[in-house]
Amino acid sequence: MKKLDRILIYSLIPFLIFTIFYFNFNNNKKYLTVIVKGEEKNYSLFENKIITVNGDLGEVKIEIKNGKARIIESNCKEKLCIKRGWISIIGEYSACLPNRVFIIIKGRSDIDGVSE
Amino acid sequence: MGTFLIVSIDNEHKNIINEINSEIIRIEDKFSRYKENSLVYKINSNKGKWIDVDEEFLYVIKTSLYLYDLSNGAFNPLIGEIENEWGFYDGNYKIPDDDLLKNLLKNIDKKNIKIDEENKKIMIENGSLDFGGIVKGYALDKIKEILTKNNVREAIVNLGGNILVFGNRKFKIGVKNPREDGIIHVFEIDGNNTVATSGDYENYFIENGKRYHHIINPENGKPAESGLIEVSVVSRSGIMGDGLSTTLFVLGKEKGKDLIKYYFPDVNVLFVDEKLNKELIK
Repeated sequence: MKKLDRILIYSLIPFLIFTIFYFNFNNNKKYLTVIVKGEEKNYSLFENKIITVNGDLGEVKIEIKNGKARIIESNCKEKLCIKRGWISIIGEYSACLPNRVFIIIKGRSDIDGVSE
Repeated sequence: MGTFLIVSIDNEHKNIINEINSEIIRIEDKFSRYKENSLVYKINSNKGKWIDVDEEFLYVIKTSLYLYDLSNGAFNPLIGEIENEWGFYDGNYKIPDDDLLKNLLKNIDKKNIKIDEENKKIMIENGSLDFGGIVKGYALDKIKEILTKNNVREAIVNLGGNILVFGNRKFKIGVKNPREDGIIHVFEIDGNNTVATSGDYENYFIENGKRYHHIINPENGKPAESGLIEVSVVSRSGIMGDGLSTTLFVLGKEKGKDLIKYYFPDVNVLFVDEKLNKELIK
């Protein structure tokens, strides 16, 4: 199988809403994909900004700064998403499961995945 | 609580996601401690009564108890109630008092689990079964069966941080740096392996400057202080790799190395200590 054929599929279990997208191998730069309740949107990691999205429980704030991203505000109880801190490497991700918000860094990489 | 799933697969096989999702939900519905219709819930809420189970359930509980025996109880499928007291399930973090922990520790000896293999029945006398430390790895083993059955050539599955690499090539899997952003190590591994990682950064709280994390030492009911802050295990068996990452975290490096040497010579392990020193055991 050629790498170009590969697609990624996301799912937040037990929530069965998932999305499919194609790897953008033409883009040399890494970028951030934000998935909210199955809807996804891409952001440059090199324009510093705060993104506010509406999760299942309420607003979730995501900060993009100098090629990194992190969840900085969420009304979930555990705050595991905030404790997760910055993500910066292609394949790294952070999730606020109660809000069904998932962020992942994408781009061209020879790393196949990140375990944590 | 839920978890997330990332499947990387070729376009031709993308519909397999539905089968994979259904399988994970089936496993969750059977092994969850919190779903009222699950088998685990039924066993836990009928203490002292024999409950009918099936081969699959026996396999998972026997694997848990195998790790319990090999590690002298460092892996313990009855630890869930103690984790709850610390608030690691619902986010109501608190330090439980010692007397309460002492009482709960009485319930986690494996003698509280009775198994009648011939008649496929299980009884819990005290404590509560919790397969959280092993079931994601088991789910990866079942996903591997689905990929094989559907003649998938290559796939990467990430189930809540546990990874399955499937296919006939070398894969590179990074391991999260436990204290900084980025990765601390890259495993180069053959296909059909799993990678499971346990760290003190996944679920924790800080009180008076001290970090209290969710990997409980069954000896004292408190977060394990083995000198390790992250353990990552590469294993053909997802269920064993998942259980081992927790077990080795609790045991610490030296005891962990002995366990690997004698019982799991085929697994690769990354130990990361409090000073971020890495040691790789192959």
